[in-house]
Amino acid sequence: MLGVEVAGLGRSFTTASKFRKRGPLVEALHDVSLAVEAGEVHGLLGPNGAGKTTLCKILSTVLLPTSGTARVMGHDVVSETAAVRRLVGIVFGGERGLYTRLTARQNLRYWAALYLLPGPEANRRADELLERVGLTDRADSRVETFSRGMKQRLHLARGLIADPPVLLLDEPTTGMDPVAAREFRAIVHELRVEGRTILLTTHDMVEAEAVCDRVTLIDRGRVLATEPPRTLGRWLSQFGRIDAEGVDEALLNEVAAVDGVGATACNADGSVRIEIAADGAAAVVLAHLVAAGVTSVRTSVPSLEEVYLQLIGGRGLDV
Amino acid sequence: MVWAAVRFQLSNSRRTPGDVEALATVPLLTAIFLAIMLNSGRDDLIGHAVIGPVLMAMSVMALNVAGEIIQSDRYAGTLELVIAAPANIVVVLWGRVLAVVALGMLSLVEAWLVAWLGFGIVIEVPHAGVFAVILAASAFAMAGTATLAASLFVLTRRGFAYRVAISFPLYILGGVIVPIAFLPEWLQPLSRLVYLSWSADLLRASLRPEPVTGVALGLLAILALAFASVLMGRRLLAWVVDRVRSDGTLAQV
Repeated sequence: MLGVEVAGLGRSFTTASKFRKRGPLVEALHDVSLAVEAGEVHGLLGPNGAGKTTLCKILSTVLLPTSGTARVMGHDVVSETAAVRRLVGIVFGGERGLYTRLTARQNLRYWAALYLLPGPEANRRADELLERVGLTDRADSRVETFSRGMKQRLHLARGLIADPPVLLLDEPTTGMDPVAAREFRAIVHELRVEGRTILLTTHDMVEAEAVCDRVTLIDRGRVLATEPPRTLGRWLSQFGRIDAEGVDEALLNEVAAVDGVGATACNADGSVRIEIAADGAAAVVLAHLVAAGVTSVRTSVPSLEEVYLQLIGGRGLDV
Repeated sequence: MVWAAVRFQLSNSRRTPGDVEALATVPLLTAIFLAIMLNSGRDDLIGHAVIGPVLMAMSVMALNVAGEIIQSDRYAGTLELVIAAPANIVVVLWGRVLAVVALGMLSLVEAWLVAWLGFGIVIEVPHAGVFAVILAASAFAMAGTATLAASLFVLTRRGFAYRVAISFPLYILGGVIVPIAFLPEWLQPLSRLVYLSWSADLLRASLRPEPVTGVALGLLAILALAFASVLMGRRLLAWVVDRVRSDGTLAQV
C-alpha cells in the first residue's frame, strides 16, 4: 500500500487586496502527482514558494485541493477526513504550533487528548516521547523558555503523540543550529526504522540527501522530477564552488580554462570565486591552486536555487 | 476530552490574566448598582444589583475567551493543528470556555463581599439549591453561546468588535442590566430566547424568602437554549471550517 498518493493535484488561491475582494488567481500547485511507498522517507525539495507547505496542508486536511486527489494510506483527504486525521502526524517547522505559556508536558497531554488518547495512555505516551526527544529534564518548564532546537524536538514529540503511521515534516530543521539539526535527523532515521512513512519538505539539499530514500523536486507548484538521493550528492559536487585568496590574474585565467569550470569572478574582498559545472573539475582546479602556492582555499556546496538555475536554466531537467 | 480541555484552559488562564480581567469590573459594577438601588429606596432590587454584575462578568468572560482562543491559536499556529486533529473542535472549545466560566464564578464572592463590606448588607440565599443548579445550568449555556460565537471568530479576524457587539444586546435582552419589565413591550418576548433572562429571574428569585416558582420551566429553558447553542455552533463551525479550508484563510493572522 502507498503511504501517500497524490494524483493531478492542484490548488489555486485568489489574492485579495485592499480595494478588491478578489484579485488574480495564484496557482500554488499544478497537476502534482506523487507516490510515496509505505515506510519510505520521501523528500520534497524546493525553494521558498515552491508549494511544499501547500501540499502538506492538503495532506493534513486543513486545506482543500481545487483539483485532483490525495490519499493517505488509501484514504481520500477530502471525503475521508476523519480517517486521515487519525493516521497523520504533523510537524510544522518554526516557532509556531506550540502553546508557549504551558510546559512541554502540558502541551503533549493536551495534544494527546485532541488525538483521543485516554488519560493514562496520554500521560504514558507524553512521558515516553519527552524522553525520546531528550526533554525529560525540561518537561515541566514553560515552552517559551526553550531554545529553537528544543521547541522543534517538542514539535516532533507532538507529531508523534498518537503514534501515527504517516508523518508530515514541513521544514522541520528551519532555523536550527547544525548540531540540533543533526540530532533531529538522527531521530528521523529512527522513525524510518520503525516503518513510518515520512514526507519531509526542505530546501536543504544536504538534509534531503542525508535522510531521504527518494526526493521529489518541486518548483512553482510543479513537480520537476523524482530522484534518488545519490543524484543530489552528484549535483552537490558537480555544482560546487571554490573561493580562494591570493590568486593573480594569470592563475585565474589558467583555472578558468580547465574543463568543467563554469565561471570565475572576483569577490569584493579581493578573493576569487570559481564555479564548478562538471564532475571532477573541482579536483583539477584545487590541484592547480595548490601547485601555484595558494593555501587559502574554501569549497562550498551550491544553494538549491543555484542548482535549479544550472539544471533548469542551463541544460534542462529530465522530467 | 472535555476534562482535558478544561484542565488545559485552567493552566493557560493562570498565565493569561486577560482571560479573567472581567473579574476586576465586578466590585465596581456591584457598588454602582447597589448605590443606585439603595439611594432610590429600592431595597427590593438588591438582588438585581448583585446578580447583574455576576452574570455580566461570567458571560463576557465566556465570549472573550472564545474569541481569544481562536485568535491566539491562529496567531500561535495551533488552530490549523487543532483542526487537523481527530477531536471535535466544538467539544474542545466548549470545554475550554467552560473552564473560564467556572473561574468567573469567583465574581459571586466579589459581589457578596462588596455588598457586605461596602454597604453592610449580608445577602442571604434562602434557596441555595435552586441558586446552585441555575448557576451551573447558566454556566453550561454561557459556554454554549460562546461556542456558537466562536464560529464567527474563525471566519473573521475582527473578533473583538463582534464580541462587543454580541455582549451588550445579550445583557439588555437578558434583563441583566435592567429588569425585562422595563424594556419596551415589543422587545420583551424576544428576551425569552436569551438564556440570561431565565437565569437572572431564577437567581434573583432564589435570593428572596418566598418560594421560587417556575424552576423546572426555567431550568428546561436554560438547558434547551444551551443545547441549541451547542448544536448550532457545531453546524455553523463545521460550515465555517469547510469554508476556510476551501479558501485557505484558516492560518491567516
